[in-house]
Amino acid sequence: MTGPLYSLSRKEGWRRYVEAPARQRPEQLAAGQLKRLGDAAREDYDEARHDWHANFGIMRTPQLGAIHDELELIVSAGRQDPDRVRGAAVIDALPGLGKTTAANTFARGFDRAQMRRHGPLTGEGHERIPVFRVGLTSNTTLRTLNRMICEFYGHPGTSRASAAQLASYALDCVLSCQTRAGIIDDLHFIDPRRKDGLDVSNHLKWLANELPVTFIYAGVGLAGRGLFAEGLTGQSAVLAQTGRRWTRLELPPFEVVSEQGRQHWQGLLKATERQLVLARCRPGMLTGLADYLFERTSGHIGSFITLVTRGCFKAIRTGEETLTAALLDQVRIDEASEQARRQLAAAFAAGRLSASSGTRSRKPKAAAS
Amino acid sequence: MVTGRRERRMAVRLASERAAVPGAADQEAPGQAGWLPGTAGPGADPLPEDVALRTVPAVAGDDDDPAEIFDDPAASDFYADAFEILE
Repeated sequence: MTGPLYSLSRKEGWRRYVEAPARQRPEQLAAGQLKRLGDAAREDYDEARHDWHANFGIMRTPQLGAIHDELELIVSAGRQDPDRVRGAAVIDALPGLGKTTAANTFARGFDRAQMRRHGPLTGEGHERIPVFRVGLTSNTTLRTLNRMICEFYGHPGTSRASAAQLASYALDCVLSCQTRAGIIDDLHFIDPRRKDGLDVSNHLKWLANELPVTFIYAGVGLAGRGLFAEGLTGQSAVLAQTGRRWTRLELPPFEVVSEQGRQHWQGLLKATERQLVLARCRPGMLTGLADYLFERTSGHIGSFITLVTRGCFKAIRTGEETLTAALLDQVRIDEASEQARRQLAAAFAAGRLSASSGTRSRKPKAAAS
Repeated sequence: MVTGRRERRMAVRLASERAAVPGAADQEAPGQAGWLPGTAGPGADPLPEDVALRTVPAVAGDDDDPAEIFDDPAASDFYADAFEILE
């Protein structure tokens, strides 16, 4: 593996992510050229391809584009003065659909624009940090949430401070660094039906009131967890208030039931295929496997990328230098996809589904009597 | 522009040499006596153009396999509806 390791939960890591130049695609060599490489050169070339396949650019899928457009609207319109309440965005979707990617890529663009427009220092000479980002853990309390925000900024007083002091430090950091947007990832770790979860949920509301930033939350099944609970009364009525302030954004998986859905699936396959650096890569290599790839991944982009990345690794290691159903059959991915595979395989085999654009799913033939 | 006597003589000599080189249309005529000294005439050895082609060094390997030669994807519109890649 090459390249520096860093965490997006620290300002240094976030800055590195924001300012990193686009990766350089390794040169495409044909199989004959590959054979003529010396051992060391071949090893370096394969390493470069492994790195590339694990990190090639983010594809602007229709789902991602729609989320970016909504976030752009919510963050750009969130210019209310500090005495007014500003809304927040919540990306609520199943795992493996790119919630974190959607939030991070949007915030990266926002950060770049702010730095370009206002420069790296604030008017008071502080470091400008347009975005902060924290990821919650399974036992996030009010205190740990405040500490995570302070640790992002590298505040030196995070180890011995109380929850209230940490909240004050976090406010100082946000104001001094003129932060405009905050990402809180993995919000599903908060369970509002538990006492400590309700405390954190209330604290998020406090943060939204006190910090002059627009929050972008991301999590799994948030609506089901009651974070947007509407019509609640009594002690939990505060959640209904949250539901009034947060805009919920969904990130659906790919589907192949409609013609538009099949076209989007083809667009994903083509965009991916064009990125691959395999000696025997051909136009149509992935689109020819449209049904198979959908069956394997259920249209979840996270599972799809994992399958392709591991498949490319195997194709390079075995010398096949191309992706085929036989090779990909040897690659296992997440359990959810593996479990869903059987059902989808039956639907494709029976003709009830097709992932190829321009085709229409046919009805299964009636069984012979 | 040719100015001096010596240059004029050189220009005439070069022009006459060029005129002796057979044109492409004439090369099919058998028995033509227009070949430059040191080159093979028609009917015996390959035409000079073929000789020139044969001087390209042969490269062995799978690149020679027609199945491995494919059009540059970027040049075709196969990927026209592929999603954009964010930098």
